[in-house]
Amino acid sequence: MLRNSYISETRLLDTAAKEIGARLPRRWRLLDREGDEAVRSPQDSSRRIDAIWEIRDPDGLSTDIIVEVKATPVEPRLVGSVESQLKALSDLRCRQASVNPVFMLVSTYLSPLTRERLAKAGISYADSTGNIRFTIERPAVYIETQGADRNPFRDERPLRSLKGGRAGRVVRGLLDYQTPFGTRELAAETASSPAMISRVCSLLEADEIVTKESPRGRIVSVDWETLARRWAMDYDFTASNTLTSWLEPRGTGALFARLRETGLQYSVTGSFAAYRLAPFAEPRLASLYVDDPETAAQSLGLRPADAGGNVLLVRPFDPVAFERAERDDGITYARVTQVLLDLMKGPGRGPIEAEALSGWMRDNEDRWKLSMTSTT
Amino acid sequence: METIDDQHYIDARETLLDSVEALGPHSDAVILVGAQAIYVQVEGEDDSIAVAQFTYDADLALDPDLLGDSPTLVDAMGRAGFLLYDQPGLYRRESGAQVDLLVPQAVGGPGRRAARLGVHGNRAAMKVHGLEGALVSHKLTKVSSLVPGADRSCLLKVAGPAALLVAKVHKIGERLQDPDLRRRDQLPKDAFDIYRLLRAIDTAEMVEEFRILQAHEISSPVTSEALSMFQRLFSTPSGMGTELVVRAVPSTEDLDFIAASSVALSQDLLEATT
Repeated sequence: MLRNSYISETRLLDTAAKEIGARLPRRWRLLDREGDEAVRSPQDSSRRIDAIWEIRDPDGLSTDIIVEVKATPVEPRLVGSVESQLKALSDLRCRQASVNPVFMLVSTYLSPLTRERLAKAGISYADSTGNIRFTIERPAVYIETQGADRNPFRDERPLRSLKGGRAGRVVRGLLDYQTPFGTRELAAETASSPAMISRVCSLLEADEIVTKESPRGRIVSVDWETLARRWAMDYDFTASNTLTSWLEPRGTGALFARLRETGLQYSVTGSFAAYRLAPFAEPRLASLYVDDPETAAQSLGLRPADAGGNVLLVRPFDPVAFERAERDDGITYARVTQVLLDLMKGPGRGPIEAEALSGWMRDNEDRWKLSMTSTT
Repeated sequence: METIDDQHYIDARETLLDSVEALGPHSDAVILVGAQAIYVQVEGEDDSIAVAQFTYDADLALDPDLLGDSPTLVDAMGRAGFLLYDQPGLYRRESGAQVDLLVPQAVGGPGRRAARLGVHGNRAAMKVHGLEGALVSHKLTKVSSLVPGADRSCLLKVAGPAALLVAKVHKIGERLQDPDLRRRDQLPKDAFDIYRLLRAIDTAEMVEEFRILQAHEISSPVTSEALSMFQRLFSTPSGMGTELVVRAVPSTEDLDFIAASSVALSQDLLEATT
């Protein structure tokens, strides 16, 4: 079984062909015809058949197999698009060769649900962990073998970006806590897996944003300003979160009065959260993380706004947006590190407000850096 | 409020206090209306919008039934330096400070513009259509000087928010009909005063007062008229009232928000009153 490294499409194909070939009855043959018959769509050169195999029984009865290769695990939700892709390619080829091929997907890993959906769609498959379902009517052949039910590549591929909630949680932890701390401590604090911490750190160590005392040792320094800028390359307040616009016609003052009394889970981010620490220009737009914008709007008496909204209700990219929040004057504010990121790529004056806020953070590290031992 | 017009605002309040003192013997008949009454009603409420509360005038409504005979209004005002000007009810000091004495049209007697006030004559106060609600809904309120450190105040009837809104809507409605376009210059300010009331006063409170105005024979007709005008002018983003509100606001403000909130609050009020 192949593990822990990037597997090329060619290698995946070769392995799958070998595995299937080894299980065929005697004198059956599986031939690779890609070399002489690769088909390209004339409209779009990226849409091409990855491989065409031919299966031939001892009597010479044969059929073509159109093979799609994915070097990454195929999620269940993508089965539909794989199916239509194969159909489109097959139509193209049928016009050219007037044959009726069967479909096959080869990937690094296919989960049980993905496999179930592929089988339902009549697509044969093979993954690098040994999950194979190869079924053809003419000539009749049926091969099924069981591989891994859990993705062995998970958490072990090198991380290429800080996109997504799982990386975000770790980055927030790296930003929020005073160094030094151990990987396992940080994993516990951020409800992440140690593997995820390692992956994020490996990415950041290359740029010397995070320094460890030894390859498997504690994290001894985090350059939070550079880390914030690095995260901003992959995190964008308006794109990473789900934003909805609402109106509090009596102004944000009325909203904050209601927030002081609400039992709703929320945290204020954006301009209002920054203004509290680093006053810049009088904020106008209130941005709130909430679990469910519709419910929150109803409970706060807000109404939908097409234009002129003064409240953004934001479903967060990850629950970390609520974590390590701060209470001030009866209002819950998102952690300053989260606020900083939200402003850096935020709408309006956000980037300028982020500058002012990071200035404050530079001068007041003792006021916002958390000590890992003091938190539970 | 930190605006360049602060001093004007302070001066206007002084003028008001002076005129109320001057009318002392008739104080029971006096009700504060107009912009200054609106400022008193919204004081301490959300003032995050930098639109100057700009007025020199003090508008005082009179209830003829409660007006005594002596001294005459013109004499009382004159003693405090407020001299009757070229039209009924308009009093001015040399400084330019102005006080308008007004009588709701429904109780102002016959005649076109001037109220018929017996011993006080036919020029002491002007009749105004739409002010009737002030006679029905008002509250005795302490109105204080705004001069820093001054310890000056008076107890004065102040018209209720709904009565003030009705009067402003009538004023806007009438001026929009007026062929003299100069009389429209102040309309954005008047519309914005309505917006101030909508922002500051709880809708339920306003609705309750509307019910009282609609139930009283003196104020019922003007209140119904005002609500239908209000609907036409303020209930949509393209309504003239909404446009006037936005025109009152400096372009540095969030104009879309002002328009959206004005419409939303107007619709709330209309839904609850009709």
